[in-house]
Amino acid sequence: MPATTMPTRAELSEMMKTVAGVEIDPGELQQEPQVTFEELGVDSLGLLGVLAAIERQYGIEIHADIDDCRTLADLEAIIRQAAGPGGRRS
Amino acid sequence: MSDDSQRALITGVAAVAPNGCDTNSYWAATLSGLSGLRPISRFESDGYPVRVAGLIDGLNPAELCGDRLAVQTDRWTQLALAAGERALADAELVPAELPPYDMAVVTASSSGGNEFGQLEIEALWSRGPRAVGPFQSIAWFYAATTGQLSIRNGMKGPCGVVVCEQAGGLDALGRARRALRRDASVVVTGGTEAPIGPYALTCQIASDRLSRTADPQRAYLPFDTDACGYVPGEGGAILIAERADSALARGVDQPYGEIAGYASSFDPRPGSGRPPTLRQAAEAALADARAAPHDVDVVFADGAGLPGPDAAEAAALAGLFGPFGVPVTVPKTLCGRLYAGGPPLDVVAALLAIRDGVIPPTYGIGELAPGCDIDLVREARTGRVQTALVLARGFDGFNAAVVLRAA
Repeated sequence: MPATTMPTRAELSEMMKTVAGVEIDPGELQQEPQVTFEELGVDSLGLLGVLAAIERQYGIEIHADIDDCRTLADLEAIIRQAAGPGGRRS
Repeated sequence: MSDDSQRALITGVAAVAPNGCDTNSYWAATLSGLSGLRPISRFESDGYPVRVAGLIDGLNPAELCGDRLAVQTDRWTQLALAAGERALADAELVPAELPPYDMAVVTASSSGGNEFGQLEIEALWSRGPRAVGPFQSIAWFYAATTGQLSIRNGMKGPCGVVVCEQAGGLDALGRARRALRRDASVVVTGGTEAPIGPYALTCQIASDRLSRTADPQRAYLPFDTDACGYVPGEGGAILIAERADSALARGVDQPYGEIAGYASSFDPRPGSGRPPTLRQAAEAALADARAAPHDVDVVFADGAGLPGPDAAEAAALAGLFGPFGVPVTVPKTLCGRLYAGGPPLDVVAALLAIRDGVIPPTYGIGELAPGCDIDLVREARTGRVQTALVLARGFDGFNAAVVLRAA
């Protein structure tokens, strides 16, 4: 079990490369949390894969509508909610 | 009936084959006898009775597609994407310059995304349902190649996929021609197959039609007395089919040829006492092309490589053309049977035979099996080739025939 339940920007970048085949510099993620996944070239299936990878790695269940997850900031908010005191762990 | 402007022309081709990973090298290998049949090295295959396959070396289709597409596609689709790009370049056709609903994609596939699906099922059973990736939903099924070609090139016309085992490779061309009559001016067609892997091969072995010979030069011998099964292979070809008036408007002045005729048939139930219907498909395709048997300069045979089916095909040819009545060739002895990719590759070979005035030979055949009264071309035969008949049979009864004519 990792120390925190929030993936770093570097980890997210790695997941997007492995799961969705999209190469994004972690620094770019750092600077532009409002950039959309669509702009980054990660389609909805790729995003589902990233969410699943996060679930597996952090042992959490993410119950969110994929339509609510348009930007990196959205994703981080969703993860925080899933991993927080009220969130379930699998 | 159709006038000249409605003819279905082939304006671009791209072959990707075990004995040549692009059109020029495939054609040179086909004429010179360079074989792509090799001992299976793709995976640990010691326990498998099938020892030899047609394998593509010298091309990494995943790399050509780029990471984003590579993670969501099987090798079968990646081969088609690479060939599709080349075929469009060969046709000098830029999809973005044409109305999207005027362009379509109709491919054939016999087994879909074998390796991708196999790996996801491995993940399911070894790591549980959460380990199955989301792209399994779009990577394994038969229409994936059509879908990816359509998306990549913005082709929104009547798209589809044909699944008739090897015969599908010609049925796709038939459907492409049909689409060109009403609904589209350009159709990306043909097909590829990537059937060499543990799961895929296991499925094929169950048909009892695969050769178990370990020597690549003795493993696949259609019409030979020593016919002992066929060798499966990967690859195929993508072709650009275009309506003549549209091609003319685009400035195409040297099309490869015309899809002049097409027909398909299905064999009767085994044990019914009725004969197989390959001959009927061939006759109907010739009638569709308004060609008589004596107009045909060469037949690219299906070449099952098994005594029974070989004899049946030879009988159909002898019945239609007379014994030894037409040159017959099976260039696929150098690359194997490529399922949905096989007939499109044969079509490429036929079109190049028309272009270059040379019939490619059938390498490796010794003595013809008794009753195979066919003029099998053993050495490259030069001379005018105006009309070619291509035949394909799919497992369990599918038959298809296409007549190609110089444009």
